Amino acid sequence: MKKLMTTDDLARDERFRRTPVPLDFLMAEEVTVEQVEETMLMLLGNDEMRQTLEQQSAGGGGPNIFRRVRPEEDDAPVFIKSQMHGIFMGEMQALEAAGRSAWDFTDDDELPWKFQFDMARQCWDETRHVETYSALLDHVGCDIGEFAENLFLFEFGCSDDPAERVVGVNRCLEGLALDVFNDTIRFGRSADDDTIWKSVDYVSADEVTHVRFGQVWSKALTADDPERRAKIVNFQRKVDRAFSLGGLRGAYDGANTEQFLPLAIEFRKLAGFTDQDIADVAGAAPKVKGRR
Amino acid sequence: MTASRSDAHANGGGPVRGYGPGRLAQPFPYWDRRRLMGEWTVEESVQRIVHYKWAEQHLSAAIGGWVATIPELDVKAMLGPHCYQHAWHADLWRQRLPELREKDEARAEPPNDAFIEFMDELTSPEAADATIEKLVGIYRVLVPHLLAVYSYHQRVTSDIVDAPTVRILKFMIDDDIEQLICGEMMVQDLARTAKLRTRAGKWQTHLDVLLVKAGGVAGEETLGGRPRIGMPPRAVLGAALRQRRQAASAASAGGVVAG
Repeated sequence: MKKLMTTDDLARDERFRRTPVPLDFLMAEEVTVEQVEETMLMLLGNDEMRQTLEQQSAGGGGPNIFRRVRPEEDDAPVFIKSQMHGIFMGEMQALEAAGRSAWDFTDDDELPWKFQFDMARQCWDETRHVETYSALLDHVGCDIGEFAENLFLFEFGCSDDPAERVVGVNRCLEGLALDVFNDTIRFGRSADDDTIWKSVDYVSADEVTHVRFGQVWSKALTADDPERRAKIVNFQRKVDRAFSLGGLRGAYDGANTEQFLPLAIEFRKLAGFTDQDIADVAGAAPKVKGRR
Repeated sequence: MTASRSDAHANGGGPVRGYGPGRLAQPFPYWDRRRLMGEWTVEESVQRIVHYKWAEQHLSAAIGGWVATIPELDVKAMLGPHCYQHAWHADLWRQRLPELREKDEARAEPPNDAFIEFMDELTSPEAADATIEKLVGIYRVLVPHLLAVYSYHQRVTSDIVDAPTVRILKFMIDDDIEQLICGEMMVQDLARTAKLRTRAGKWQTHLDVLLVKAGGVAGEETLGGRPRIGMPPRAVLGAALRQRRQAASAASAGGVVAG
């Protein structure tokens, strides 16, 4: 088995369809509102979703892509299905990325055994998450493959440097997961849906551990190498920008309940983020022109 | 509190009864059948463990690597926990090494080049349509081999002085039995055609032949040894029996005189 696979090599069954990774958009320093809308529709949308958003647009104004959807709203079912499916795919890619991290660096004599051990542990944890979200998809009436898959998460977990790998997968991907889960837990509580919030709460606890793996390993592997550290920090900024989803993810101050995807500050602190780390993530978004 | 006095004698081989200070027992109950002497010295145990550890580390890594190459979602999900279990086994061996005076807990070595060749071949399937070969390598060749070797190790090492190893092996054997069952169910379910069954069988034989060339996970000495079952003493019959009884009778009579 070769080392270092690319997104094209990821194996799937026939239910899965892929959309192209919007690398240019994710890496851009400046984006337009229209680009954000188009990209999010591509990432999250299916025919039902597109129809819902078109109906909103027909009533005047743009689609509701930038605001949080409440459980009692008419479009809540399609939005939660879209979100759950996106997370399910993200968990699958996280499982695969953790597995590859356990495999790809076995020839690296400098890498401590504990690295492989942590990645194997994560492999097991992510499997539970795939199982959990598969059950939750069923819970919200969504079939696997109902939405397209986008491999942008795995795209940033393919580096040949284990330090970049843990930054991409553990710190950034799993950090994004913390933000999303925090939001899903709120949604579940607000909907009085114990199945959603209680199960996601467990998944979220696992993710704190994984983000902590990322924090610890990215620092440990670069501790005596300032040049490599600088390279890793630069990579981290790029991935944080990419995972800001065109600036949709933002700081949550407790009052801004309309924010599409607020940062899960408490969870991130539990995982070892400092205030500066959180400020870095919050400030990583591109400039958005024409934001309404 | 009053303790009842036992008739038993400590270390005297008599029956152990009673409660409290009067119970003159050895530091293990009479039903204990553990062995003090095991098959290997400390150094020999270390040598086996570094080979086990190497195999567990490589198996865990390969399972992790395969997750992304397998399209069947149920197989993908089965591999995740097994990736961790083998890493955990390797880590248990890592922790055991310093307890056996090994200074380098990171030591992990293949027994010989033939075993490296076997592992390279086992981990070589890569294509998305090679799920059968991947599963056969894990669940029909290496895991059953480890199960056999670990069970052997558990049965022949000392239950007393090497008890931590016996306990570690208990966890591993438990995991491996469950893996064997899950893996075999999956292979049988996936390979429902003659063609797929043939592929599975051929690959299994191919790997098994490579494995036997290596001798096994610990090399030539992986399995083997002298029978050491607790054999009963030779039967005493005929003249030998008469002599023994006469001697016993004389000793008894002498005892009465002396008394």
